[in-house]
Amino acid sequence: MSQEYHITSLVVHAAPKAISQVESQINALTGTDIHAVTEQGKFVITLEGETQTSILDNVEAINAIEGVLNSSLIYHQIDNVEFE
Amino acid sequence: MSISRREFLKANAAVAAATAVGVTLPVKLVEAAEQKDDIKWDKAPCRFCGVGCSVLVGTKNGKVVATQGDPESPVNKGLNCIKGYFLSKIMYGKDRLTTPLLRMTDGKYDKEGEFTPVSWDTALDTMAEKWKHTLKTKGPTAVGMFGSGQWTIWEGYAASKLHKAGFLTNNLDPNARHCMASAVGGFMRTFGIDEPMGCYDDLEAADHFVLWGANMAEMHPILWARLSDRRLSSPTSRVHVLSTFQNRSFDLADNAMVFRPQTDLVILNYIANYIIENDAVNKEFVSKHTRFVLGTTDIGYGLRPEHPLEQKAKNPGKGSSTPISFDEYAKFVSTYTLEYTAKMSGVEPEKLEEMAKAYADPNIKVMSLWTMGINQHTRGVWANNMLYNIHLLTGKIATPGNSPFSLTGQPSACGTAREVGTFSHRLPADMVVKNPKHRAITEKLWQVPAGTIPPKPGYHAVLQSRMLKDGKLNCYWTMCTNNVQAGANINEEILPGFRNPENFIVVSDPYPTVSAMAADLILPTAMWVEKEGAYGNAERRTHMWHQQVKPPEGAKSDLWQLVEFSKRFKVSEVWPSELIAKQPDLADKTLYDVLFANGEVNKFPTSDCKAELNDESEAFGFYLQKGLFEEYAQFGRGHAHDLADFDTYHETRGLRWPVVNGKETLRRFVEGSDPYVKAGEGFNFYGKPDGKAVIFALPYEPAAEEPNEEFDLWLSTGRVLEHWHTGSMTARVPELHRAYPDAQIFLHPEDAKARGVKRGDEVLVTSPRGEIKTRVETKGRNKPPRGVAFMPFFDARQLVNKLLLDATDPLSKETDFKKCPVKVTKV
Repeated sequence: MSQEYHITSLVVHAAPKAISQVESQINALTGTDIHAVTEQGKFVITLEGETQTSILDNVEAINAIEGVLNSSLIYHQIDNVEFE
Repeated sequence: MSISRREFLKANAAVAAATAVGVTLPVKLVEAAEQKDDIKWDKAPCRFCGVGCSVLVGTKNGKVVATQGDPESPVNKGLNCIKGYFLSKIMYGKDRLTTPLLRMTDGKYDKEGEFTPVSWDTALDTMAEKWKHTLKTKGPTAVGMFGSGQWTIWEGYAASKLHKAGFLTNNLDPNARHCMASAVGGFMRTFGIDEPMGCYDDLEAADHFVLWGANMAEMHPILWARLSDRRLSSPTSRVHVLSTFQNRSFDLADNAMVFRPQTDLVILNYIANYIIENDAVNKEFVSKHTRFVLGTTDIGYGLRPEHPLEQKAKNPGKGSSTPISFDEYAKFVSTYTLEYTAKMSGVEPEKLEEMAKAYADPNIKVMSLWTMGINQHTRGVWANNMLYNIHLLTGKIATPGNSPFSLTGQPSACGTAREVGTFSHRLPADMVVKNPKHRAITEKLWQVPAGTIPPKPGYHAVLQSRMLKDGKLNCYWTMCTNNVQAGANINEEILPGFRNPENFIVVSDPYPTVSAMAADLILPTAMWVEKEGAYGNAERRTHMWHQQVKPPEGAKSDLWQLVEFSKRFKVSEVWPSELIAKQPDLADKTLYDVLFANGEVNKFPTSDCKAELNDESEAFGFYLQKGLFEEYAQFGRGHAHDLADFDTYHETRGLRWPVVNGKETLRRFVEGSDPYVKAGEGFNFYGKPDGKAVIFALPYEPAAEEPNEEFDLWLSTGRVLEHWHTGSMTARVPELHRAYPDAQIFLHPEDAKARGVKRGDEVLVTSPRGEIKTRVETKGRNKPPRGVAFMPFFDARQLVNKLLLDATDPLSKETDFKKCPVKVTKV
């Protein structure tokens, strides 16, 4: 059977004073990785998942975090995974 | 899947994001991303909004599998909004149409029959028969087309030629009538030439930003990202946000203002008054570069002439004006005091004053941004004029950061609808059908006899619906749009026309939209990177893409459909003998020969195309897109609408017109930036014969309808981030649909309580024109004040626009989708 693997990266812009709080809340979401955070409050994040909804749920969750001003999608790919 | 492949894919994604913000990642991650993959990448503008982001599209085995924000694009600099996530999915919805469907009974066309698969030949032959019969019996005003600001430039151009020079009708209008017509009207009245003078670079140059109703955080997220960056990196930057309800853009607001619907007109005049009273007029600029006029008032609401509101209006539809002096203008706005404005608008006076001060202060660079709140307004052209008034009085225009900026909703509302002139009154390059010189120029470039193009404007979008219902417009083709969901007053004006037994309705779409299901013939359409295209965005940027995948078998692009259809008409079948007598050799030719195989459009060989795929060129035997573009570009070159040569656009991330000597223009009307302004002039508003921009004295006038005892809430409709317009593409992506499945009505908690309902409850929303069931949201992203409700229109199962009155701006004919009195009751 075939299953999809989704990978997405985002740049999330948070208010500088909210950086640490935003960071811990993003870390609490499953399937997310923070790869870098800048002093200006920009986060480099990847989201991965086997179902498509999980990624979007996470995007919505990130947007709803207090202190998040904006999130931009950078990269999105769907890979078909073959299972025996 | 092996761990390493997963790591590789993740590294790819992370590196792309890091590049976009300029941060370095661990070497290990970068190395992981440097492996080879078998994805083929090419650029394309995003399919959705008017911002015009460039996207790198990754294809594999003939399918789009990946997308990435294009790091080389000056618009989005590597970023995309969440809608970009769906680009790789929009073409693969389960119900994608792959065959023409004709309503039939017992193998014959029947308006009341069932949709039955037919061949393309049967579909187009049936259409041609209907068109010919109607042209013969009722004449060219009985056929027409509703097009799109999502058409590619050459699709709009081909449609314009086919109608204006082929069928001899001006009954061609784009759905941009519903979104940008008031902006066009504003530009033409104030400057005499369409589209913004500034550009997106102003986002990094401005000090203060003022959002006039626009919810950029959701509707223009990439520009919002740039604006947020500017706000947070510059200590003196401030953001003023005006809206009739609190929305996501308020999160960044330093000065947040919720005003009573329609009182934006009062606020605009108050700012002008403040500037004058506080001696902040830039006198040198105003005396050299502007003049003042008094606009005609009491102009009605663009309804049917027999409507009581039209009967009551003194000057219905009148756009005339008379010259006045500065002093007369000053006196005109002097009644718009702070006290009066605060009372009318409901905004706290100190907030209004803070905003007015920013406009008045010569040391603060101000960028004003607006879209549908100002345009979808029964005084939308006025509101546009009044916004320019403020920037002209202070001379804050056309210089870096001083920028009245009309945002756009659709990806090619500018490039196709406006620049090509696919409106019922327009021709390419801002020319109009009413002007005999403009018709002559067009007829010459199109190589058709003098007198081919009819001088009378055709039916605009809203009038098309009314004429369909009245049986005066009988053959109707809509493309790349979904008016049965997006237009206003669906039950009373739109559906009756689609189902009128006298009419034959054709809808071209990739998906079975609400409009398609109401049609008589559905044509399955190729979309986005399934064809070669060109769009023009809100900052005058023309950009192109190549075909990157094959459409599903059976689907054909709008361009192919238009050109193929033209082959079915002989000139002698559609033109009157007087016209043929002027060029008798055309009589036996087809419209295809006259319009497309005319020596210009067909002069470039297919080998000029650098892409592997180009279905249209293959079908017709020449590089159709290039031929259409180069013929079209002749209209603007040397006339302040200069486009570069075709090939340049495929090699770049787009260029902002006018492109003169290979150089794009960032800001128009200003010396040093605009090649059409001579040295020593400073500014030249050359769209007007005297080089002066016009400042309009215009009053507040009320909305067409206001809440009353029974219908006691203002309802505004609009979009949400996750969905594009009517959801015909986005709602087909399962995860997107899941993210925002059902429209809701956003209410103030107290308003909900007063009606005995709470969050999540089902309610009936009623207007004099219809009712819909939906659910209540009181805690969502939109927070209306008491007395106001908001509901998005993407949900095909909740056709909110059937509640709306088809009241329009009488000058622009654009519908007001923002101010409909409704009542909400518990179900």
